[in-house]
Amino acid sequence: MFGLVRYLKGYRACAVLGPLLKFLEALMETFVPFIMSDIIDVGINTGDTAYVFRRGLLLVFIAVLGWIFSLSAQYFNARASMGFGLNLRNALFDKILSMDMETVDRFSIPSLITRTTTDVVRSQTGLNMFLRLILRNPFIVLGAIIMSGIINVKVMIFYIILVPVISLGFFLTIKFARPFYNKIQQGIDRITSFCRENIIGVRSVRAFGIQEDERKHFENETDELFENQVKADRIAALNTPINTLLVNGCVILVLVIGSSFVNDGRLLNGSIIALVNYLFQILLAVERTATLIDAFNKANVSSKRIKEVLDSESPEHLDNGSELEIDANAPLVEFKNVSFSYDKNGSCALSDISFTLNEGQTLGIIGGTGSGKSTLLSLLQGIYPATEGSVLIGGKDVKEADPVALRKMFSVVQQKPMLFSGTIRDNIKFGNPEAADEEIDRALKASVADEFVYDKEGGLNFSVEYGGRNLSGGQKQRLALARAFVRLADILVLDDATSALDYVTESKIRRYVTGQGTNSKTKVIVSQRISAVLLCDRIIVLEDGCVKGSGTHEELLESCDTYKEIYLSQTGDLEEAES
Amino acid sequence: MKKKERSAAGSNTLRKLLNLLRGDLFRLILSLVLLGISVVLSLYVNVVIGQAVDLMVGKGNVDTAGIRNCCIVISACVVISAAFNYIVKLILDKVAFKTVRTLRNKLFAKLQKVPVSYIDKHRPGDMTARLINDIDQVSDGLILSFAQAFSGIVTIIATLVFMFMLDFKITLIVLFASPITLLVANFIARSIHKYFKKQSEIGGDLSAVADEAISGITVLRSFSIENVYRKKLSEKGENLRKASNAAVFFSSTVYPTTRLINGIIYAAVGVVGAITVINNGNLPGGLTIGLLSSFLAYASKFTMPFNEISGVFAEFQGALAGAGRVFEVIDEEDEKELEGAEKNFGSEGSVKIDNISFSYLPEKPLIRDFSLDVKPGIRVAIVGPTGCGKTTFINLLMRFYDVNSGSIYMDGIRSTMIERKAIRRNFGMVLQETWLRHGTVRDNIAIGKPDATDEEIVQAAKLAHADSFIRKLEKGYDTLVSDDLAKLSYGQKQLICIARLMLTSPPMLILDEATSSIDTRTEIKVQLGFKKLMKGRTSFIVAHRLSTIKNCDIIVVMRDGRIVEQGTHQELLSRDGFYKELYNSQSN
Repeated sequence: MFGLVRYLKGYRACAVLGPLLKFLEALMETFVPFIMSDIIDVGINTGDTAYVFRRGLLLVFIAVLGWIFSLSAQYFNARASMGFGLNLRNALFDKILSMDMETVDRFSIPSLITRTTTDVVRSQTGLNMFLRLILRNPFIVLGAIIMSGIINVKVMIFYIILVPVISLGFFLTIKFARPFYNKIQQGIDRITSFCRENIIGVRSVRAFGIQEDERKHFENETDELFENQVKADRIAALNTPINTLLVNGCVILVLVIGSSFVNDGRLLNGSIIALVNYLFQILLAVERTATLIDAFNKANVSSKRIKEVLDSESPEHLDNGSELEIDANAPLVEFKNVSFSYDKNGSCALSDISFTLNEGQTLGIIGGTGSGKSTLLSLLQGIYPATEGSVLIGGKDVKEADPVALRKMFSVVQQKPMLFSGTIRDNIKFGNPEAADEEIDRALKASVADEFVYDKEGGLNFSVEYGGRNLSGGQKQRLALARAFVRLADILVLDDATSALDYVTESKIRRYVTGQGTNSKTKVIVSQRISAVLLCDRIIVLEDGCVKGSGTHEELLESCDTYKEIYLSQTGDLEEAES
Repeated sequence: MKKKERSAAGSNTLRKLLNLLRGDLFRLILSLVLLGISVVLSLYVNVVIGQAVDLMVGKGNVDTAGIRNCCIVISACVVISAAFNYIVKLILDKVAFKTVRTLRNKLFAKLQKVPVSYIDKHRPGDMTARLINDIDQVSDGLILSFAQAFSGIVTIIATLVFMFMLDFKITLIVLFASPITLLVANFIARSIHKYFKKQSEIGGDLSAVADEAISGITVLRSFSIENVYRKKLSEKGENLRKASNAAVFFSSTVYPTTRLINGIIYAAVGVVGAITVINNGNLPGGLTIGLLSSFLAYASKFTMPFNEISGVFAEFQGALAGAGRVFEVIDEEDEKELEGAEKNFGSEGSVKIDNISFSYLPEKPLIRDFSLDVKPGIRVAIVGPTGCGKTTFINLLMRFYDVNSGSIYMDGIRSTMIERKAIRRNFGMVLQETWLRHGTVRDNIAIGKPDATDEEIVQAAKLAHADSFIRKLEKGYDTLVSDDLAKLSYGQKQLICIARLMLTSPPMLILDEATSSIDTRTEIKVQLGFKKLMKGRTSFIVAHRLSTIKNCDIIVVMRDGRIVEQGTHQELLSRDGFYKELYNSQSN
């Protein structure tokens, strides 16, 4: 949490004022027993009613003052922590948007989402709690100790010893219970995912008739959870009784020692009452801190997770409006002996790939799952750098190119189409903010999306829900295609972009893509289906990260066995393919 | 009216919960008694401290022996109170944990027995939320907060009794002034509700934006629209900040304000008490200094249990709602078998479908006038565009759902007259949506035949062409897998599911897009394995890629829930109909 202090920017004064006012409030609270002992020692013992009234008014005054301090403290604390949360979220989001894909993968997208949402909220709540409550309690303990010291130094020494002893007891119980709590959390996670799997696989579970088996397994898990809960409880429940015993032990000490002080006239009985009250103030404060620390720990874990992202080293990718300088004489795309592996010691996802693609040409890439097709596309767009060899766009090595300028070269349709909440028009316009409705209409026709878009309520104004939830997979894919079609980029990249479409629709789209009507004149089409790449100027056959063949459809049928096998597996008879 | 219904439902839920606790009734009553004693003793300590203070009047006037006695009483009270407190907590927590376990087990067991349609209607996240959060809420909100409420009530009563014993007049001050605290706290809580509502609305909205932007980060980048989202998020963030500021600030005024009121009551009690002591001359029998201090201790803590109890109330309501959601599932009716339904059924492979119709929603008919006669050992392919009812047909065949009208006969027996378990035992099934159970690869392959030997398992994996990749996993056949883990690709998961089938070899097969995620070359090899397996077995094959079903004995072409054509590949091609259109679009 404290590593993130700089995100208090703009709210620093609040973050200082808040605790300061809290401190004053705590001070007010510790005055109370002192004044009450005055009422007894001076007021009652001398029978001075007027004095009693004056002191009573002082008590009310102190209560009001404490209230004012407290409210203003809460105000500043809320401001500081919520401002902190805002700064933190913005910084985190900026960082995520500008980090390279390798870093994104390392953290994983779901985890980055949790960090920007839940973790930020927990951190700001944690900060607020810290400023508001955790600081208040030590102030009270400190104040109570000092005030008791003013009454009697010897008793104060007991109190000074008492506080660490209580804290020690608390930390010991936590320490011994912690392993069980961890097991409990893991148990709950396991139960959740087991139940989830059981629900998702309901048809398989019933088809195999393993319901009983599943139930027994589940009950074993809940039994284990129960055991751990009971064990953790045995330790954690010790806390309260131990604290009560310690503090009341101290009360007895105060009574015994105090009575001897009263006996020799060093103390009055009102002071004894005050001392006992301070003791109970200390107990209450320590107990409150104990319950808060657990919640605060959670916030601390969250801030650590946020800090991890903010501190991760990743080149900044920012849009400075520049465009890629292209050498018109060089081929538009060139791969020179490119090899790539995702982790440094791992096996090669691509090895020794070389090819060129000139402006206006269409390149097809075909291969099975895991053959390296998508990896090749990532290298092409400079999302990952080549491990060996170089990828050149217009004669320029993508490693040296400005990544944002590089991205402007491409119009990409990904395998998993991703749409955003907003209207259909908004979504398509992400491809080209300037696109007029006529252009959008053209793109929709080209992606065979017009039929369903205009059927929907509002047509282009139909509002797409979060992630495109209210559209089918095929509809999403067609809209993603339309979005790419309106974009003004040099190279159109389709990464298995028609997998959810039926063959009739696919062939219509294919005809458009391989034709002359597209905005991007150079195209790269990746697919598992021969039919999708059939008409390309050149087809590259990938298997296990290596190029197995390259040429036109006809050439490959002659020269490339892998291609021929794929072809037969998709068109011919099984027997034919086998022979 | 509605309110009445709701409270009736609430009391119903409560009754069910109490039923669940019946076995622990003695333990619960015992712990409440102990809890009561513990609370009273810990409160009594205050009186004894006051008495001790009264025994030290001033210089040379201290009753040391009396104080020693007081200290002994205090020790005894505290030790007993602390021990009881510990015992009670252990008992109550154990009862709570046990109830949680029982509820979870019941919920899960129910999920194994409800109709598939019930599960299809609920999102998995909804069920796991009931399983975890709602049930936790039941234990926290009902059992534990009940104990808290009980100890609060005992505290209030005991405190009142002790205070009345000390001084009647001053007790009245406390008694009438304290409710003000509650009223104020309640007033604040009610008036800040709208801020919280706003905060959670904006917060949810903001989370959705962040979620969407980060999930779609590659798209944001490739279209260079990061700034659109950057702006969106920081604007929403600023709105959230303002809303949260209000919500957090106003909610944090509750405690200081109640403290203020308590402080004023405390001062009033102090002043009135001091004057009473002065008038009384600090003589035993009336109010004394020590007793005033005891009184002050009670007065300062008097409102605390009220606050706790009102908190308990909110929690109790939440818990009741949670329990309602849990019982809603537990009370769901089991899937029933018809009386006299066949328990043991060994199919010879004849399936006759007689004019069936079916729909998930009454207003959207899905399968209509569907008839088909399948002789034993026949390979039936079912093809057609997405949404035409292919998978629904499989659901009916396996009796995951039952037909609305018409009948399915298996070996001449109406399928509703055979127990579902018995029918399913006769089918081997591989679905497009693969499912792996949490466990080792070996366990997963042996799911349909738990007593399979290692050789059999490896043999099945080889037939499914899964052996080579399984061996490459970190622990081979002992590698732990689960549906959620991303360790395996879709294709690999599908191969494991196919290996399961290879191991069990049941009399009938269902392959619903069983090889859709496998690349076409491996697919061919797997298909050859299937071909051997299908020999002599009635098989139903749903496929998107027509090239994989060309050799089936009958191809059934479906469109909008009806059979539009049926015949062999050659027959259908020569007919120049929908099949030919589909086929040509694929092999163009």
